[in-house]
Amino acid sequence: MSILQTLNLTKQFDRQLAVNGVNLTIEAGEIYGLIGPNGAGKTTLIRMLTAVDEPTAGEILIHGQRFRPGDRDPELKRQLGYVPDDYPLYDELTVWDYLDYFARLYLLTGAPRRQRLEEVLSMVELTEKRDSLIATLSRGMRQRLSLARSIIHRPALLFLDEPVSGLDPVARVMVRNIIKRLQQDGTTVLVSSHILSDLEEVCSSIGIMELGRLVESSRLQEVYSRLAKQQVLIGVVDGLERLRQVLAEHPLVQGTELVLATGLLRVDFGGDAQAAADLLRSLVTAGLPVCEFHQTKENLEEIFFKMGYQRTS
Amino acid sequence: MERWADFLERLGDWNPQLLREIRARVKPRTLLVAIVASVVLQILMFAAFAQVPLPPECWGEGEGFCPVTGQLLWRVQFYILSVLIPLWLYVLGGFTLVDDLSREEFRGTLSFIRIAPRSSSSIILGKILGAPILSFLGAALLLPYHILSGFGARVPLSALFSYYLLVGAGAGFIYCFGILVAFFTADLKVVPRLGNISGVPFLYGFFCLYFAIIYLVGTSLRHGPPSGLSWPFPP
Repeated sequence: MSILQTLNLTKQFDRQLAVNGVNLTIEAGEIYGLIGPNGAGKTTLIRMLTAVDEPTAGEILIHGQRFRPGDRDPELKRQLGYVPDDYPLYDELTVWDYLDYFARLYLLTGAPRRQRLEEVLSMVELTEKRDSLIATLSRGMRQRLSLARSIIHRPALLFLDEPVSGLDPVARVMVRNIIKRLQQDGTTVLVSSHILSDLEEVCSSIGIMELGRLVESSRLQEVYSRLAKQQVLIGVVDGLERLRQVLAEHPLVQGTELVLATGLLRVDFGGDAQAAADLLRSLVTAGLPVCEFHQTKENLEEIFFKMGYQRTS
Repeated sequence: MERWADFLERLGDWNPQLLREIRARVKPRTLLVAIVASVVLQILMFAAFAQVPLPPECWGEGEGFCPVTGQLLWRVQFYILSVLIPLWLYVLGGFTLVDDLSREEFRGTLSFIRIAPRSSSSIILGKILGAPILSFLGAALLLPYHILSGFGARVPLSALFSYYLLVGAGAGFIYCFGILVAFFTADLKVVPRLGNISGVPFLYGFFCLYFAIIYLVGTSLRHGPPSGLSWPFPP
C-alpha cells in the first residue's frame, strides 16, 4: 500500500523549473533513498512533500488523501516529520526545552509527553545533554537533536534531507542506525543523501533525480539486477601484468581496473556464477598465483554515475 | 516554585509558542537587565523631582503665592511616564517582535512551525505575547509610579483607565503591523531592521499612534474637555 504518491508534481521559480512533473510512489514501511547531483531538485521536492513550499502544479497524496501547504487538517500534519538539510535550531534553548516545545506543538501533553521526550533523547543518545544549551552542542549532536525533533510525534512518514552531510563516520553510523530503528518501528522514511554507500546500506528503494526529473524510481534490488554490472575482484601474489594479459583475452571480460586500496583487480565480467568459476579455473591453469577471487556487482555510486550524474554533466 | 512550574506547564499546553518565548527570553541576566533599567529610570526621575525646593504651603494644590505646586510636579511626572510607557512598549517591544520573526524566517525555523498541527493564530498570539515579554515587564514596573503620579496630579481614574486601554490597543496594533512587516520583508529575503525601507510604514504608524497618545494625555491634564482637537498627521 502506498503511503505517499505525487502526481505530476512541478515547481517553478521564475524561469527555472526546479522540479518537473515528478510522479513518485513510496510504499508504507520502506526507506526510500533520493539521490542526484546538486541542483537536481531533491530539496525542492522534499520541501513540497512536507508542505513547506507550494507546488506550482501537481498533487500530493498521503494515504490517498490530498495534501497541500496551509492544510489545516492536524491529523494529516501529524503524520509528517521533516529534517531540512541545514537543520536550524533555537540556540538559546536547552535540549529538553527545545524538544518539549515541539512535543507541545504536536499536541502531546502531560506524562506521555515527558516519557516520549526521554525515549527520543535516549534513541539519539543525547540524554546526558538534556539540560545543555543547544548553542554548546557539536554538529553531530545538533543533527541528532534535529532528528529527535522530527520524530517526537511518531510520524508515519519522515523526510530527511541530507541527514549525514558534514558528519564524521561515527555520527553517520549513529544516524544510519536510528533510521533503521525507525523503519523497524513502522516509520516510512524518505532520505536524500550524497553519501551513496550509506543509502545503499539502509534503503529498500531509490529514486534518481536529474535536472528536476525523477529519472529512476524502483526497488534497490531491481536497480541492481537491471543496471549493475557483474564484477569479479581478483588478487594475485605477483604477476599483475600477466593477469591483465590473460584477462584481456577472455571473451566475457569487458574491462579491468586496479583498486589501489586493496591491490585487487576489479574486472567487469559479463558472465554468470558458472562462468566466473570457469574463469577462476582458467587463471589457475595458466599458472597465476591467485590468492583472492570474489564475485560482486557494481555499487550504487557506480550506477549513479552511469545513470544520473553523467547525463547532467 | 512548584506553583510557577505548574503554571508554566498549563501555559505551555495552552500556547507552546508563548512558553518557548518565555523560556528563551526570561533568564536571570535578561530579567535583571529589564528590572534594573526600569527601576533605575524611576529612581533617577524621582530623585530629579525631589530636588525641586517646595515650601510646605505649596504642597498639594498650593495656598498663596506658589509658582510651582506639588500637584504640578506630579502632573509633570505623570506626563513624562505617560510618554515613556508607550515608547518603551512600542519601540522596544515592536522591534523585538519584528526582529525575532524575521530571524526565524531567515534561519528557517518558521518552516517547522508552519508544518506543525497548531493553528497559525495561536502561534502568532504566542509571539505577540511572548517575544516582547521583557518590554512588558519593564513597562509593568513603571505602572505603580505612573498610577501614584496620576493620583498626585488628581487625574480621574476613568482617564487613567482609558489611557491604559489606549496604550494596550496601540500595542496590539503596532505588533500586528510589525508581524506583517516581518513576513513581508522575509519574502524579500532581507533581514529587516527598523532602518530599512520596509520599516517606513511601520515607523509612520508608530509615530501617529504615539503622538496621538501624548496629545490626549496632554489635553486630559488641562482639566476639562480638549478644545480645538486637530489631527496633525495626513490623511
